[in-house]
Amino acid sequence: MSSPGTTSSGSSDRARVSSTPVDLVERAKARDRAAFTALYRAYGRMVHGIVLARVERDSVADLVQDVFELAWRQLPQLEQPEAFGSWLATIARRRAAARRARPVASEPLPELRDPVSTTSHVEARAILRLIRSLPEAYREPLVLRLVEGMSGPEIAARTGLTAGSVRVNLHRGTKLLRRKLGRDDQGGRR
Amino acid sequence: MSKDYLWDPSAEPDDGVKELEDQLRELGFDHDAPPDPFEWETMKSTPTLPAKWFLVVAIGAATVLVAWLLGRPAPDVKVPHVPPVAAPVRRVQPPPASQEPSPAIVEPDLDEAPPEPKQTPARPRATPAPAPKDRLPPKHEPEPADTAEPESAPTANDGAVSVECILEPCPTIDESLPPRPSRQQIRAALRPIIDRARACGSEHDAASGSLVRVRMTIEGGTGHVQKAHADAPHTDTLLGRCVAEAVLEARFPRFRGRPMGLQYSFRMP
Repeated sequence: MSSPGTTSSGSSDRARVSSTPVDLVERAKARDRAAFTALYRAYGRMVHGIVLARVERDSVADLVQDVFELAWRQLPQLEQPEAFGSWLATIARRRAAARRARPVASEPLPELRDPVSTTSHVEARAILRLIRSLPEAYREPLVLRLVEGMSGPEIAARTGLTAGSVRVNLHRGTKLLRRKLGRDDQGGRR
Repeated sequence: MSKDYLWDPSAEPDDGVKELEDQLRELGFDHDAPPDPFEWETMKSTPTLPAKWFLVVAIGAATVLVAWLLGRPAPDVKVPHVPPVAAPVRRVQPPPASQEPSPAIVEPDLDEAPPEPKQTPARPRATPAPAPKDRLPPKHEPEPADTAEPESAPTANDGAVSVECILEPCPTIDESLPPRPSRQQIRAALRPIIDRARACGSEHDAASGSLVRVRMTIEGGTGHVQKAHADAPHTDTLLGRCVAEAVLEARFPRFRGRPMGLQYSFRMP
């Protein structure tokens, strides 16, 4: 995982954005859209993972969009740029919780259904459902680690959680998940 | 299992964790997805476009006015008495020239307050924004027209201002609206007309289970469907037209973005 601000490439717009997260936040606060796009690229996985750990996947893209839009609008009020990650994570959690609380009819409509439902896709969704059935403290780190591919230290740094709690929850959650999947600790299947 | 790998993916892979990663990876954040759904790019540019147009028009009008004043036979009569020409223009757009500072700030709608605990200025910052008055929300049309008229009474440039609003749906911009409807809202908006669209299938003997895909354009200011047409192979068929007409009845939540294109497939009964 690259660090925020170094993920960009290509356009001159993005090339300009090669600074620390705090710099990016400061510039985004000053309405620098390129800086905010860099923040989006750096924190998109985190937001996606946090939301995915809580709501159905069909709603995730919308929610990620909502979260970043809200962040863009509210950013000028963020006093501590270094708290951007945890601030954004809180927005994501709140939005996801609000979406979950809102009763939504779930009639599958043709245009919005997944065009392809491969077996691997079905399996992935089944595992994700299992993760969502785990205690809340385990869900988020597991999704960020296993789905979004973030490392433990990165999860801690981005979300503002302590490294210790992320580590413990990762290991306990994985253990529980494996048990639910009927896989032993060696990675094989029972 | 190798605990290091779970914590640090650069360590030697753990088979069990790796297997889970491989299975779940496809659900992850799509890095290649362009940030186009993220409207922060357009949030500022949309409102500034009318501002630029207005600036151009204002400069043009000033030039015309100066030329007219200079060309007058009796230059000593200093009072130009311009207003007569201005009347029709007002309806179109009160001066957006003052709107540059506001667009990024004007978002008071948020029921989900920002999570940062100490902050309270969200409301205060948003409320005093003068933009809504300038933007001429349709329902308040009569009042701003009366009140705003005197100060800017732009002169003989009525035609140009109108063109601006033909090119861009500027009067409908309302910063309190979301940039576009969510999928859930789209579903909800289409749900009432689904039965009607499906009835077209029975009416026109469509094969059971066949799909009729309709492309529609939704106008943000009204939430109405501006136009809709069925895709091939139903483009010019009675079935296609019937479904497209049903789609025209859909009402979406208003949004502040540009007109939004949407494709939707209806499965015939």
